[in-house]
Amino acid sequence: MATSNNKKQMNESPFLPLEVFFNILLCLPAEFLFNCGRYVCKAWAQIIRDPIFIKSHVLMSKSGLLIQGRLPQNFLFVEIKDDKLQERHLKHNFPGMLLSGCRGLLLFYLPDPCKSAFRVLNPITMQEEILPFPFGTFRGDFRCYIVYISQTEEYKVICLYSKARPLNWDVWTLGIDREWRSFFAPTYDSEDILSSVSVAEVVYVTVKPTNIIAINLVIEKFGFIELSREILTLPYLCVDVKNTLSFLVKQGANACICVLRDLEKQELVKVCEIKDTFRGMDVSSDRFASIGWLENNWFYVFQRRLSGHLRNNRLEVYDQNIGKARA
Amino acid sequence: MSSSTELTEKKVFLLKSLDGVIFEVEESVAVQLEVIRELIEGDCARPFISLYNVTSEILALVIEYCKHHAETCSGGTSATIADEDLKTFDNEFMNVDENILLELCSAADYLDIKSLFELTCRTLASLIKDRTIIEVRKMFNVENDFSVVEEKAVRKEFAWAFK
Repeated sequence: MATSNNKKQMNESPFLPLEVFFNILLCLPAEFLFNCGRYVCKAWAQIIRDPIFIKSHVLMSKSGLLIQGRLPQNFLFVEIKDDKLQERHLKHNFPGMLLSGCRGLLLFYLPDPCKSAFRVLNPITMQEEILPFPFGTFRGDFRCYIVYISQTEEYKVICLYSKARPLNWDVWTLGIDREWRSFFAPTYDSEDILSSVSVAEVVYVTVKPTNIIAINLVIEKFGFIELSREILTLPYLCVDVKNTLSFLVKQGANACICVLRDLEKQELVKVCEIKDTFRGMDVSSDRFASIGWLENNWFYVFQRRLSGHLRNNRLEVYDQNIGKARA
Repeated sequence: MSSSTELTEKKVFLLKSLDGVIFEVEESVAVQLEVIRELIEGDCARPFISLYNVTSEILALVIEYCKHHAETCSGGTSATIADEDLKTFDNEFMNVDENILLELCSAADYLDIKSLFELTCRTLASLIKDRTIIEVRKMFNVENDFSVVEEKAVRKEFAWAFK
């Protein structure tokens, strides 16, 4: 009798405490949590919804890049697996055009004025916050970023307008603000935003080649960076390298990535050079898009639209180990 | 009496499983079980430690795991070789029946062995990664406690995501 009881116990899985489930679910990809995990039982759904779980899951996740294709529903997730670049097409249908992403949250733009404007989405839980259009009748171009403020554990969305006089921007703190808060830089006209990038908690905008406006989203103040270096008179793009403001500078067919090591001394350090890939290409045009870094900054991913092939967006990756770019 | 002093000298501890089997383990192994380390430090580890949630079958495996990890770490091999060795051992160690794996995970949680707990969680996660909702429920022996209305509500909440 005792043995049969024992046997029965062995065949039945032990009931695991919630903290065990919590830890198992942490090891699973967001896709599983979304398509399967949250329907298993109420307790699992509760765990997956829990902000502490969400935060831990984001911290566990490996870095990859989410890239939107030409069609809004084409999403590609690029990551490094076993030293090889792997791409995966995602099944989710995301709500619009991907503008920016930060620590697990994605910022989308929906160009339909009837349906609100921006959606901030957590792709794991599919929770979202909808933000209205910040610009009444504004018809120009804009740049938008989502930024994580670690001190206050808040996310902020910033929207900058080009061709605006003076240069102005709006800020929205997620979960707190009910409307956009407006800021402007009095002496600056944003005839064209040449380049902009969000680096940690700061958004950098260049309007003139040697002048960069730095908007600190922690204290919500801005300042100017003057760059006198000759190198920056060449066409360049602001990029983020390991949370430092850096520049992708084009010189003929080559381009190099320079990190701004010391602002006071105006010290630029060249970290890598991408050869023979940039012939006849204008990095500041919309044919070129800098996408980001993978795996400890060994891989730099960028996208370009080949001339004459409007449908052909080519994704290229520069591998610092072998010093070459490949498609 | 004499055997007891000998035990103290070798610093050996006795662990008693749920089904009454007693295991003799050295201190280097015992301290990997965080629960037991606390008992040892509090001097509550005599004459033996009863582990009410762990069967002898599982406890034997847990001890095997801790023994291997203790030996590999204290052996004079270089860190990279030890790392490789532990990786191979862990992989083979996880090559067990699903039910055993679940019990190991539960035991590692109860005994507070961080590395084994993480290992079993990772292994279980990779097992269920490609399974259906029904298969996952069956494996963990959990019931679907959603009512039809509740399940619909979860789906409806993010309806656009399924278009």
